[in-house]
Amino acid sequence: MQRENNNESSLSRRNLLKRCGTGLAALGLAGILHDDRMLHASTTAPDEALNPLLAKPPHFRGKAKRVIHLFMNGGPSHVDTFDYKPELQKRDGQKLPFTLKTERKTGVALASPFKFKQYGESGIHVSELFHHTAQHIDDIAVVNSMHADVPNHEPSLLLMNCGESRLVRPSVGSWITYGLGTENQNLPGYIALCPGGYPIKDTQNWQSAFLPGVFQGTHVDTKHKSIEKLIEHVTNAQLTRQQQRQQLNTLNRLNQIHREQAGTDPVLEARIQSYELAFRMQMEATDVFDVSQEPQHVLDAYGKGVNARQLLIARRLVERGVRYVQVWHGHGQPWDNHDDLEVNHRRLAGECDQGIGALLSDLKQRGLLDETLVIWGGEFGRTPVVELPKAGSNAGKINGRDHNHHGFTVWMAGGGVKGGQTYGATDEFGFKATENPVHVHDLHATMLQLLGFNHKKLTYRYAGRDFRLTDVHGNVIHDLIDS
Amino acid sequence: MSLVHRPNDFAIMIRYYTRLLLTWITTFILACGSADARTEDETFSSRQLDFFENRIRPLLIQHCLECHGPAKSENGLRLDSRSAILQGGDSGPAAIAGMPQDSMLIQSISHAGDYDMPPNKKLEDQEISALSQWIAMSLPWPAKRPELKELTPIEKIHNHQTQHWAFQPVTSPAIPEVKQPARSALDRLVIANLETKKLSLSPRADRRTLIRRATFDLTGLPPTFEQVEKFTGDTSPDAYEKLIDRLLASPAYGERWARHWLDIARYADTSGYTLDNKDNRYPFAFSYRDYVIDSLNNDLPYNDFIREQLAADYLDIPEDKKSLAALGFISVGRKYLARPDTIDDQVDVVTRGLMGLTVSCARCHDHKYDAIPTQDYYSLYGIFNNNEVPKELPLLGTPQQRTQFQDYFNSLKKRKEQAQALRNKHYDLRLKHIRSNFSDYIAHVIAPGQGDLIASQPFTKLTKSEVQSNIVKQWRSFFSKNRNEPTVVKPTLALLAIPDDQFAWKAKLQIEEWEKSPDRQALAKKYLKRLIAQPPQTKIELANIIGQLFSETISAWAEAGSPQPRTGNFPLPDDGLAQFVFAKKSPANFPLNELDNYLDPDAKTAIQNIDKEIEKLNNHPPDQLARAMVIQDKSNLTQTRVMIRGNQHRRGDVAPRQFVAVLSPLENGEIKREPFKNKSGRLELADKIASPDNPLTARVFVNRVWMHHFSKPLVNTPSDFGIRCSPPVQSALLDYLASEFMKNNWSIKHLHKTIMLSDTYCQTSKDRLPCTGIDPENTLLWKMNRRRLEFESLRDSMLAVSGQLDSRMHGKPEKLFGAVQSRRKTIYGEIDRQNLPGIYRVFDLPNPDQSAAKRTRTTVPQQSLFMINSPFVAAQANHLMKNVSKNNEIPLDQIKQLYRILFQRDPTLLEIEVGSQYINSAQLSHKPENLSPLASYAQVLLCTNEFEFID
Repeated sequence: MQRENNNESSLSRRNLLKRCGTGLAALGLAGILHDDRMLHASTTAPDEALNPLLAKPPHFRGKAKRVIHLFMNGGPSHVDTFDYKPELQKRDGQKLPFTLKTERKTGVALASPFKFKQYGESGIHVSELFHHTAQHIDDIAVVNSMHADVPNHEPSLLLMNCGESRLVRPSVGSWITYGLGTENQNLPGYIALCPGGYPIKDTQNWQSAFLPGVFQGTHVDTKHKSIEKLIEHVTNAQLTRQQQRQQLNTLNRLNQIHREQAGTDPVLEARIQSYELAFRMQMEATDVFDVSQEPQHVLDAYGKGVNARQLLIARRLVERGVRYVQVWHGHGQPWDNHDDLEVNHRRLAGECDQGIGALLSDLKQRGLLDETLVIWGGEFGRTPVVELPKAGSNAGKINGRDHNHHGFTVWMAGGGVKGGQTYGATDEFGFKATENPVHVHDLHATMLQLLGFNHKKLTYRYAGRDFRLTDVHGNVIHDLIDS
Repeated sequence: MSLVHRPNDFAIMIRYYTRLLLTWITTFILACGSADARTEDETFSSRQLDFFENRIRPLLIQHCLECHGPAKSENGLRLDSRSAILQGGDSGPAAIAGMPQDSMLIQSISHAGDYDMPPNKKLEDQEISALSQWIAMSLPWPAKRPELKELTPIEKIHNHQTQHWAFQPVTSPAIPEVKQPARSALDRLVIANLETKKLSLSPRADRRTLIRRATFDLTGLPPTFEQVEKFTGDTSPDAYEKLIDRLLASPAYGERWARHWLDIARYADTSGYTLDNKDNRYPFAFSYRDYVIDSLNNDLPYNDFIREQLAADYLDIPEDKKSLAALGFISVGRKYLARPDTIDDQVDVVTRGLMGLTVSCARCHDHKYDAIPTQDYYSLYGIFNNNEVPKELPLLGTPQQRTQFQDYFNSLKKRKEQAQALRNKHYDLRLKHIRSNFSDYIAHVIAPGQGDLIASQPFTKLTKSEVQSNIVKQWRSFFSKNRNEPTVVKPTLALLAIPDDQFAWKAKLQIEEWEKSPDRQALAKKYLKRLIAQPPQTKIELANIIGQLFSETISAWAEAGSPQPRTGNFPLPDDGLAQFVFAKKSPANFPLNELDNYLDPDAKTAIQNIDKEIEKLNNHPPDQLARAMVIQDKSNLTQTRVMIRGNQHRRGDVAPRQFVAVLSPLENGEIKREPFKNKSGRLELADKIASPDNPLTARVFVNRVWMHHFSKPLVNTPSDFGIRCSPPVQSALLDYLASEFMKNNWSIKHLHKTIMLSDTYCQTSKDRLPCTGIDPENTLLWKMNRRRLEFESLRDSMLAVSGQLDSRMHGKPEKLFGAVQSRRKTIYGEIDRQNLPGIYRVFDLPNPDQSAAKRTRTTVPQQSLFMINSPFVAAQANHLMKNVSKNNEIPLDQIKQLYRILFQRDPTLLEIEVGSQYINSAQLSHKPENLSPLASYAQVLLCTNEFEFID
């Protein structure tokens, strides 16, 4: 599609159109150009990618226009949340007929301490941990057959976020903002909300790698409430808005004088525009993070705590046209419960379940859910068997679960997803994806499909090669898509 | 094959490297009506034939020939020669040259005609499109090889070596005659191209523009008003050349251009992600950055620059050892958690960075386009995999300079000694504890989880809290690993297997049996004797028996003057017990390096604390102390094998350490190259790269330099000169620069002068008709390109005009922003690759994890937010205000001063009016906490396009 710095081909679009005249349409090739999205490339200056964040249409019409990725970092246990395993309950404390290698030594079967119940018309089982979320089960497609490559956090986080576990590659959000731009130029197009600091692997989780830096996620530490701590340089300590407006008016006048001498140049124009955008961003960004503007019943619906607040912020962001919002449960790896799984999972789900349920209701009420793809999951799941004590790695309480990349659960809702279904399955204990396994690459391919991209064609030329999110992998899971 | 371009073949000159471009080309050909059918013997351009070889030939072989080839010709159709395709089969011609839409071949593969081909699977869209392009081009087919056969690797290399422009030797092109007056050979090459389109160079820019352009270009800073005045007033004919010489001699030149090189070298001050929160700092990365700055300032010839960066340790090393810092080129990359990924990055930076060859593409499979087999990748991999980082990096500076760090080294040494002493102390304590309490610990092995029972035994000495769980663990593991040890463990286990309620009598029976049995020698004599003497009544008593035996063994050794035998030499007559007690992994005799496993938490913390202090000292040496981030060859070189599909556990053929085939001479169908002999071969590799015979190195470098002067390269993919890279429109210019560069001893400063003294460089940057219509991209160089300041220049310029720039060179990096605002040049800002400051990405600094060919240039509001809101810009505006209000109280004079400082000119009346109006109205709303009206006006000027763009 676009090559290394597409902006500098010797045949720019403008040049081409001039050369070919009506030839394009006559030959019916405009469709191919459209597929390749070059017609949506910068239409003004051939030399500079002016504002690469301007909204662009995808390859074809996709139902999803934006994404909220709820990242339960650390690895939530699927058999305690969305993968109901009656057989596991029966075998509590028994040795399973097989165990698979995970990061650490594991022992006998550990039944889920949580109660499962059927919800909705679809009657899908969900554990008590997510009973608020479960109210929306008929809008949710639960993918029970996810699998990844290794049972370690670092590579699995990178795989889930960047489609490659070791090397430096752009994140999903970067690819999507690269492909679609963003709808509100007054806000960053790709925002990663993570309270208290960074998750494991830090900013690599939202890196743009070889894609231009503007496609990198903007990290917002939602632990803070004051705007200047949320977005860099968004407020001015010494001048009021009005005083700044005066400054910008003068700036515009001076730039006008300069233009008379320098000639009209789209690059100069873009710079002028970007000051106006920045000025508006100050207001809009301040506004969007201020959840106190919400009516009390909305605040009550989301609940208390930082997760509730950031879920509400996520809704406010997508509502204003932000393309990709990733909501991390917390810094580090909160869901990594090698010990005391019952206590910790209950606490963690307690922090976010009500908010997630409220978010889904809220999106639906506002008519946003149809166009907003909501994804929930971690970098992997957890073992159905108990983790055994190992000095230095856990507290040895023998009441937690190890990492499990062989099988885990991710759910999706909205944005063209066919809800009210479970897709794929793990074995009877929940150890390994056995029926219709979905690799992380397949999940990515499906996400891109929902957004209107052929995942094989959303590419970027770098170092002599056309890279793509799914590398040489990925199959779209059509059953997950509402046709 | 001819490489000369027919002027009307402009579009075809563009390489076919995307499907899109291919579409364009077809469109162009069709739109221009060049769809004439060619005859069989018509010659095709090398680019067309390349396209056939790379895109079409494999396609036909893979999908068509099985049924339409020599073996079978279904429907009378063969697709294995051009004439056969044109002639067609039973249903008529398969293709009509130049008319893909009317060709049956295209209709069939598009499933739009009578046939759906291939029958089992539809081709990919881009494959169909490629075949369409090919037919549109009139089915290019090499005359000499009418039959379809897959190329052998050697044939592919031969093809590329003979046909690809970038692999041809660099020769100085003929300098054409031109109509316009031309200053230099460079200009004549440019003008000749322009004249083919009836275009000309733009007029020379005015003096002020020229000095601003040249000063930003070479130093990244604006000139001062006085410098501009002096230059515009200098009427001597060589005034401009003197200016360039002065700028090239300025230390700021090296700082500016080093930053360009650091993009290629993927420079950063940290190693990336580390496990367990280990400090990821590269405390001495800066010595590489400083080396690059100094090399450029000293005009180190580029070929030497390459040699030092790959192999300084093989060359003469000066007394101050500074050349060793050059090796940072290899070592400042990201340290991945897996070594093969780190080595891959090193192969990549060397091949793409220095030669524009994407060798890393061949890591898992042969290169998809270039003739680079996987084996070549592993040949280079083997060179870098045979390197290691030495334990102590060499200290830079002369011996005298190094003496100033004596205090630091002393304190480091002291800490290390303290750490050692602490370790020894705890080691002795642990060992003593273990050896004094055998019975206690063995009781815990025998009766796990029965602490109360053990504590109540008369023979135990430790209270429950004194028992160290990690020592219990070590004993347990020792016993369980030695299950079959015959002298103590095996018999003990046999006794322990007896049910508790039958223990006393069954144990006695068992012991008596042992006494009688012929193989009783295996059982330790002393142990047996003791068991016979006092047959144990309960299992726990065994612990006391064994414990006593162990104690006695230890005492016997101590008396013999050998308290801690480590060597396994047993001078005393021995019945096997001593061997066991003093075995290598025995807790009674554990080695010092396993101390951590035996320490109690407090001691562990104490030792870790002092270790941390040592690490901190290592990572925070005195400011002036520099070490070179060297690599060295391993003492035992290992052979490298191909990793099949990049998998390090699947090894293929040996890959000798040697140069890539496609750049080695081919004689009589054989590649002439010798495996490297000198250690890992780094110097030999460097010599191959930095050779005038290497067709890529000089071309790649001059293209990079050109890019920074004109903000646009001559070759659009500066780090990929492989076969998918089309010859540049200015290919003669590129070759001229490359050959001049090498003729002048690879002098980079000479190259700058060649470019900057040309009329081409000195043109105005204004648009003009009809050029904008004919060549809107300015590919033909009819004007200078207007440029925006990069982040470094922007920040440095603001510091320069505010008078705040701290122009100290070299040294440790500083954080640019944060609580303390650094006033040093941006090149000295710390680059943490793991958490690159957002502002760097916002302003398009490339990702420091991968060698960056060129920077993207974006215009986004976050950049403007920085300009209007950052404390940094406000601070510079404040300083500007203070500087101009010191001696002037009249706003008009202050405005004039600001214009002179920022733009090196006087303001117009209109500009003065706009300025005064602003200051006056700002005065009205001014409050004490606000930026002063004059400062906020200065900030506006910093934000103007005139400040951020260079004409």
